[in-house]
Amino acid sequence: MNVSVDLTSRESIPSWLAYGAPIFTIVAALVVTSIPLLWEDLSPLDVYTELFVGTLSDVAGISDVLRIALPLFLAGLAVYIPLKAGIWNIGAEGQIFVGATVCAYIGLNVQLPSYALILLMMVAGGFVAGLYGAIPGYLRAKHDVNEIISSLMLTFAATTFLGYLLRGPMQGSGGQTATESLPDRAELPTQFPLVGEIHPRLHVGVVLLGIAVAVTYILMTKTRLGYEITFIGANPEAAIQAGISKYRIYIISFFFGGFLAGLAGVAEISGVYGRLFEDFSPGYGFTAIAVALLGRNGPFRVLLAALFFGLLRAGGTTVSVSFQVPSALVDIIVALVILFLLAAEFLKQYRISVDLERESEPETSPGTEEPV
Amino acid sequence: MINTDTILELDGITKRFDDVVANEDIDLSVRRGEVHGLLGENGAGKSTLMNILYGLYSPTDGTIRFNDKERSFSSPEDAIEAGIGMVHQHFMLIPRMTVLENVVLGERESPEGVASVNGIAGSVLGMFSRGRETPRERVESLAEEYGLAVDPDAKVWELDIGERQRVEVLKALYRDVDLLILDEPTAVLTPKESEQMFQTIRQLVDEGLTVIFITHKLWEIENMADRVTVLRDGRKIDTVETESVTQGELAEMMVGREVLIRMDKEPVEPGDPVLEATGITARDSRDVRTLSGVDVTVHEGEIVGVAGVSGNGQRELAECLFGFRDLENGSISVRGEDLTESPPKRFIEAGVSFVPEDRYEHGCAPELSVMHNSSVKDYRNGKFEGTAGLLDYEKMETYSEGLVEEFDIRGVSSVTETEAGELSGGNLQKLILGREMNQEPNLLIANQPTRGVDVGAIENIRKLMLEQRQNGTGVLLLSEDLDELLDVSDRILVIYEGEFVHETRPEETDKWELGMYMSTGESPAEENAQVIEEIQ
Repeated sequence: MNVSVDLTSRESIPSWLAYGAPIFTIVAALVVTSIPLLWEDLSPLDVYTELFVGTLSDVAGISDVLRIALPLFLAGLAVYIPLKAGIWNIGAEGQIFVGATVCAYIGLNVQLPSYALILLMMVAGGFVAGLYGAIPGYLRAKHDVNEIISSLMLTFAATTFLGYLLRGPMQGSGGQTATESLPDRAELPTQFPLVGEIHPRLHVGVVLLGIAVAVTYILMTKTRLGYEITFIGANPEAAIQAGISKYRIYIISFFFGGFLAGLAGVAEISGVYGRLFEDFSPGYGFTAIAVALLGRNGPFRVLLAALFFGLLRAGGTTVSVSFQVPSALVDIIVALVILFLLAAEFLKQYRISVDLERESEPETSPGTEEPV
Repeated sequence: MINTDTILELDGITKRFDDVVANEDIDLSVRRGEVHGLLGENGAGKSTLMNILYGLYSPTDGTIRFNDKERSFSSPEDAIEAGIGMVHQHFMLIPRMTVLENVVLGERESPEGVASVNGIAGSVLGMFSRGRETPRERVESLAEEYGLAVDPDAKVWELDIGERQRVEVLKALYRDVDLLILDEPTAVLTPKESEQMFQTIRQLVDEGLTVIFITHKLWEIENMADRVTVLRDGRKIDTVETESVTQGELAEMMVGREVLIRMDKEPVEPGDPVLEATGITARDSRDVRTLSGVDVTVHEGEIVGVAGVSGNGQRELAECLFGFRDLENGSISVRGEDLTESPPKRFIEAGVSFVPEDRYEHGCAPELSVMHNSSVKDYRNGKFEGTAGLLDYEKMETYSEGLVEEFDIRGVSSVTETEAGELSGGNLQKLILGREMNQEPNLLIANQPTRGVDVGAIENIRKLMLEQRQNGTGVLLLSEDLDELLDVSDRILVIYEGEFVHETRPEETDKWELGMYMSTGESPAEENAQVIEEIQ
């Protein structure tokens, strides 16, 4: 019997599919994740209730979600903005590391009052990470170097360089591969103005969630630059003929992306860990790609996606403690969501028809088809 | 061998793409052993027809009889098996592989199924293959028999264009075809290579093959073809013996004599030059030099028409004059300002508007809204200035609605929701033209502005161009539509193989003469002069 699978490109995407895809994706991922849960003799329903409802029912849980969503969101935007210009920033992870390194260096070496110091850490961390991020943008615009590869490679360069710094110039006392702890003045406070402390683990950096979403929204929908990014992303040829410089847009959008990812690094070091060490980021910059894809329709969607992944991670920790399951299970859920997401994106664009027993054809060797 | 005179018979072939009719009720009969020319302008439906024959498209209607059997080919594989080969304009070779590998690629009826195994394994297995020729021997003997000199072990990327084409021909011959379709084989060749190609074709026919030869160059038909079928606008005009027609008559058949859409053209006294370009030399995207030292001057209030068969450098010329394509040589100035090597933005600022040939690829961003697309030339000039230097999208929307109204762009339900790509070709063209003309340009460069547009819209577009001229805009109009050129231009330049070969005025020339210059690059020959008189 012959089975043939045909893929045809959809001419238009049905609206139920466009809007429903993220939800189907998540539901399908959860259904599949039930299998390892059942294997561990756990009720998926209980686990999911704890994961979602349990986490969101107390201040600590919500604080954790927000704290984790922050770097995911900033790095998500770092992918999202270049994506709008039609290019892929796969290097948000590296940009986070650069931001974090600059942040730690300034925090340890510059004597300034707390507010000024934190502001300087953010601006400098973001700026240097932005420059680092702009490299693939420049290479792509000027020399047509594939930005996916260059941004990814630069991530390895950044993480490896950090490894060197932590064993050399920036190594703290005690022999660990980490810096000294930052002085108190270099740490983001947990006291919010007016409100006071919400939870000891929630630092004021989370206001960046609101600021970044607003700034990105205005950038993309209200400014000339956003208009140009959108146009370049939609059809670079037409945009160039309209006098828009691809060169400029690629560099700027990568710079913006790098800046935001750098901020995420600053927030993690200054707000969460208080010192710089090698594995401070559990792959936020890579998860960010999924965040940006889930939220590709606008910065608010990116925020929602970041909050969802934040919830998965925060809830996952609770679940692994209260149900005694390995925390790897949470990683499995996250991975499955990403996998289903990619499949959904594909199905949105192509129609699949499976055809059993087509008229039997003589065996063909690969390459028989004439390229058309 | 089947002993009939007719190898191929197409009957009533019709092909529709949605509502576009590419071929309509075409009958074609090809005799065994002849070179059959297929002549027509770009977009006349030649390639579509041949792609149907080659199994790339399935016809909407009509039948194919090949070697006295009714056939329907669902893939090129079917067509090849039946004995039909095709050499496309764009080569289908794998550059990293050798000539031999390319020739045998995908072939499965080979000695013990190991034809594609090269080297020791291949030759060892070849020895046990019941005395059949190895692919190498076969390729070599074919090459010798047909005079297709090419080294079987050379990698394809090392070969020049002419050699690659010979590999394509070998590929077809290796599959024992009876009928070979050559789709504009000389389009990419130098004159010397073309001459070699012609010799090859003669040799193929001497060896008993039948060749269908697609072209829009008249002299090639005259030199090569026994008979010629002329297509125009997807229909067959006639099939004639080449010997019994002159190039003039062929040009006439190819271009047609439609009723002109007469335009009232007010006399305008041309002013100062707006565009002065000298010595423009450029290469196309395949790095072939397609423009060699072209000079153009356009004055205020003047429409300069550029006539030419597509692919003779028009696209590159238009793109160079807009800063979109790099010049190899030459200089461009607009209203006295030197803009050589400037980016498109500078040209826009100097008041140059541009209507590209390919409206979906270059003229718009199909997935963006009508609003986005109608404002792309205006978003930075302060027209949509909002508070704090932000873009005011409401102003943009209002402007876009005005544009839709003014230029009668249909099919827009909401300027912010309707995507530019959802508009029909004609309406999209009106959108682009409207956008460009609202710039009140000093110079308008329009490449094929009315191609594929319905008659009503054509009239509109021509009117708009004449209005621009009245306002003192210089217009450079590149068009394949001779009626249009004769109708609106003040001056006509004929481009042929990247050079201007003729300059004239509409009142001093006619379609026939232009057609001759377009397709031969030379002035009409003596013998044809009589024909003109007969026609007129």
